[in-house]
Amino acid sequence: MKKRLWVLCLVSVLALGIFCATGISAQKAYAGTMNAEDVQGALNSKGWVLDRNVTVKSGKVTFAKNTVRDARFLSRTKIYADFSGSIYDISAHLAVSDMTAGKRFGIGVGFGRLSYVVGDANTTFIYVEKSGNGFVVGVCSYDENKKVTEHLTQKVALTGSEWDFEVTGTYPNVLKVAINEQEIFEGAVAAEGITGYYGFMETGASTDDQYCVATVNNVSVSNNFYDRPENVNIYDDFNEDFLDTSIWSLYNDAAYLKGVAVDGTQLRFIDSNQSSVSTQYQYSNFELNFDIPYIQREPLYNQDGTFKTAVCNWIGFICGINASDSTAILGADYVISNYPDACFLSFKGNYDNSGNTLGGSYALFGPAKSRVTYTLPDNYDIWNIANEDRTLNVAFTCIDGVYSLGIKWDDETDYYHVFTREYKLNRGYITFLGYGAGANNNTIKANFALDNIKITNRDYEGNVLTDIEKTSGNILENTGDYGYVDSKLPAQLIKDGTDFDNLSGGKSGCNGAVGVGGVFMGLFGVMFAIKKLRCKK
Amino acid sequence: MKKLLVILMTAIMAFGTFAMTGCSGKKKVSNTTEDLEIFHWDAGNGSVWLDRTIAAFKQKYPEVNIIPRYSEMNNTWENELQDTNNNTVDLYISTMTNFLAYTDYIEPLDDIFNQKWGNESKTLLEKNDPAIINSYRGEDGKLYASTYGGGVCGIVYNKTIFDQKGYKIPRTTHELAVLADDMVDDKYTPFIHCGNADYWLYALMPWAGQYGGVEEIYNFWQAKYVDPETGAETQPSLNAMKYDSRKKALDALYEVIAPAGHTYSASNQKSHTDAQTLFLSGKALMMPNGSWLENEMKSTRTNIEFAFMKLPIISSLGEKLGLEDDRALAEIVSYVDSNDYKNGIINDASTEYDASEVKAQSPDVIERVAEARQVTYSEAISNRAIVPNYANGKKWAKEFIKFMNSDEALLIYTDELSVRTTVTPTTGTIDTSKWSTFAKSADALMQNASYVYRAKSYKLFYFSSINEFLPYVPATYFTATNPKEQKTSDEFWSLCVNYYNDYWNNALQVSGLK
Repeated sequence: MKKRLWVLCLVSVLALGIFCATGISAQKAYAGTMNAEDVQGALNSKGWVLDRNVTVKSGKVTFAKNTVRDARFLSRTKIYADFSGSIYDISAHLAVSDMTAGKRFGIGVGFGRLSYVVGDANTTFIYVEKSGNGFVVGVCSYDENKKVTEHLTQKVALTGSEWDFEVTGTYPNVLKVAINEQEIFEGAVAAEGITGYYGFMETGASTDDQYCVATVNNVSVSNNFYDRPENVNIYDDFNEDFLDTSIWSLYNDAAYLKGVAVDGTQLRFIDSNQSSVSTQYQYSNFELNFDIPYIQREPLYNQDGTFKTAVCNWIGFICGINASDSTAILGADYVISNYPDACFLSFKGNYDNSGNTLGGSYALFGPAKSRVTYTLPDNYDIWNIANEDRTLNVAFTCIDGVYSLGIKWDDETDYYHVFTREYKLNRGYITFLGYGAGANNNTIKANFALDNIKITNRDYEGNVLTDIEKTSGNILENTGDYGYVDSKLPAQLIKDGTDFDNLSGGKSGCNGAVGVGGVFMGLFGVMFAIKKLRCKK
Repeated sequence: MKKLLVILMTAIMAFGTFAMTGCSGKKKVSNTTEDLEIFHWDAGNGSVWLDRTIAAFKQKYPEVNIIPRYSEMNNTWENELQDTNNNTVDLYISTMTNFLAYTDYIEPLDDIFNQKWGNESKTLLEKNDPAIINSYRGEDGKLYASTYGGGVCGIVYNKTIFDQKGYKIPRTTHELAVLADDMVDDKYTPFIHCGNADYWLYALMPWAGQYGGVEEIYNFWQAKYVDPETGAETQPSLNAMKYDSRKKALDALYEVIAPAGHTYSASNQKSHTDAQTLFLSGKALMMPNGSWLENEMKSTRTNIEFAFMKLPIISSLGEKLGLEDDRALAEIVSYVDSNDYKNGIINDASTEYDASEVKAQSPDVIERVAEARQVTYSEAISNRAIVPNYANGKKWAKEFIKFMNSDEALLIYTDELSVRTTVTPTTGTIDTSKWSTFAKSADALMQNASYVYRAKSYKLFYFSSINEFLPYVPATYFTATNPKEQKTSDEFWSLCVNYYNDYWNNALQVSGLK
């Protein structure tokens, strides 16, 4: 079923009966919660703005006597709306233990900026205030010129000093308020008065004579929206000598000629330890296709016959990282330790300590906590040397948090379905990785090539940019033609046993010289290869 | 033929590279009493200033043979210094954090610091900042180093975007956090830092100094606890590790950088040069940094104008002083920054500050804010010059240090790097009119600065594992991308306190304090 891609981010209530925050995603319903301990004792949490002396303890938000003027407990997560119908529902238990006349306390919505207080443009405030010995409730909103409108011509008297509030927002600007399950207001407020940041707050000065002592707990918020990041559809065959930096961002290993590079035909990971190429844009729902035309399937040996490097370690990509130039840190069991929620796919062969394949290839997928290993059938033992001349086609989709992977050889017509799994969807950059076994291990590296990478936005009414100008980084100048005819590429040169390190005098015992010599030799090697390629063209 | 040429060239290049680099280790140098071999850590400020200083020195003393050795590594000096048989270096110019642990090998400099250079009116001692000099004294009271650099550290901001968007320089840490919120709303990333160095220390330590007073910072570096009730002093004291000001500074940092979207997500993985490059390309609008930034990044092309902001006052100082709210503190900050404060008046019609707010406060409160406003971090204390006491060329090394403290050499440093040192020249003024916006902003911070330094002159800090302002780097915990690795300010402080509790006795023992 092709789901209608509305999002319901239903927020559950914590066990202690506390509060929670909205979650934002482009996927179907899920429960996103915020641990109250995250903000306890801190001046300002990661997820909420706490003004002075507004505190959170054991899941209860407390406004003390000596807060600041217009003190707020404001969510840093915005309420979004891009469709007709129900946008959100906020419910909370509010209790006022002491309040002076002139103060107001309640729920604010429609805050366009984190710095806004009640009274700024397009804010809406559902408040209680003193009336005699009791309390009344009112609803007011401020238009873009900060002109206030009181929506209840007669404020509603409340019984007691604590109440269950429920505030519902409906597109485009209709607000409904119920207290203790009794509706007290439904009507239009300021044009943008129901979206944006929301929270709990008091208004007026906070002095010895003017104060409000109140608490909030049992907060539950759901926001129905569709998260559609702005991005581009990508197809790159890497048939140019440079990486198009308008769509790609590159993180290379700190060593010349190792890591990742475009060679004019493919995207090559060469002795990569943790090099990566990321999209410049974030994606939510997407379809990804790419080819793997080359994997180093045999170990390499030095000229003296000693072991150099094992077969290619692993090939992967990760979706859901929130920085395009972030290094995904590989933790134990091939999980990304610094982005535990991001979904990570890796292909991996099976090899022994001598670097020889033992047969069998795997696809590993999932976020850190629930990564699953899928053993590929014999026909898709992609590390098998028998498949050296074949190109693997990979098709991957991520729709509404449902992830599917299919693979096939390019001489086949149908994809082999590897898995379909559901995980929490995190919008983010799509990053291709080639991982070795660490900076101190020179024998286990990633050596492979990718080609024909295609990424298609699959968001509902996606925000696809079409006028992106191609840009490039540094390009080697064409300084002449040496007339070579050998078409081997750098990785193939290495594969064939051309050992740059040994050529540069590696047995001299002077490490500093070896490294620098190797770099120059390698540099020459790549220039050499590029010339040959150009010659071929 | 071409192929042969390529192979030949390649072989020559490789061999040449090999030959140029040579075996690791130092080549033999002349090591007579007339040779002056200088090791210099070639860091952010580069070495051109030193080349010029050497050239000026050679003009005065042509007979000395100066052999400079510049290195991007600063971790070889400890082994070299102790290798009395083979070490030929006469003068080290580097950071040498725990140099006081090696005073057995270092020449005291008291004699030259009691002298004047040429016809200058003041001795070297009189020209230097006492806080720095005192931190260079060993247990025996002798002076073992000279400072050579200067400049300040703090928060650098993208002035181009600030001007475009009309962002105001924040006066308090709370205003800084609110400004960051505004930037997030404007789709900017407010902060970036690097993961390989604790540059946020440049704000943390001054914030602690603003809250608890500069004296308390130096008490910390002496592991001295002063009871706030009785004034009784205890040294060494575990309580000195737990001064409230340190926790307040962490709270401020947490409020500023931890909230969602406030810090560039990959900051903890970035080297300082990578983070600086991203900052200069506009990926984030503020970065803790030092006055070397401009020189270090001069090869990075940028159209961005950047500058230091005067460090915002820690907001919790307002609560400590009994102010009603952060706005009241901010108004007093505006007042003490104004000329009216310098002239001793409060102008009811001022547009720079709210006069009624200022008048509502006692003079003591205003003075306390004014003092806090000057607290500035400098790495000058970490720029040290030392002389091995066995050096054949120590006569020239000491003379060179004297020259480095001369008005002439200070002017060379200032001219080359557009930054003053913490050594005060006896005469002359510095023309800053042609300095960049950045250099001018750094210079403005140095006016009447009340410096806090990493003053590791107490042996606890150079013999034991308790050797830094904090045992861990808070920014990496506050902004970790993995939620499990994130810590709030309270959690981080608990981590630190546990560390001090666990290692205190051992630290005292290895430092000879128990």
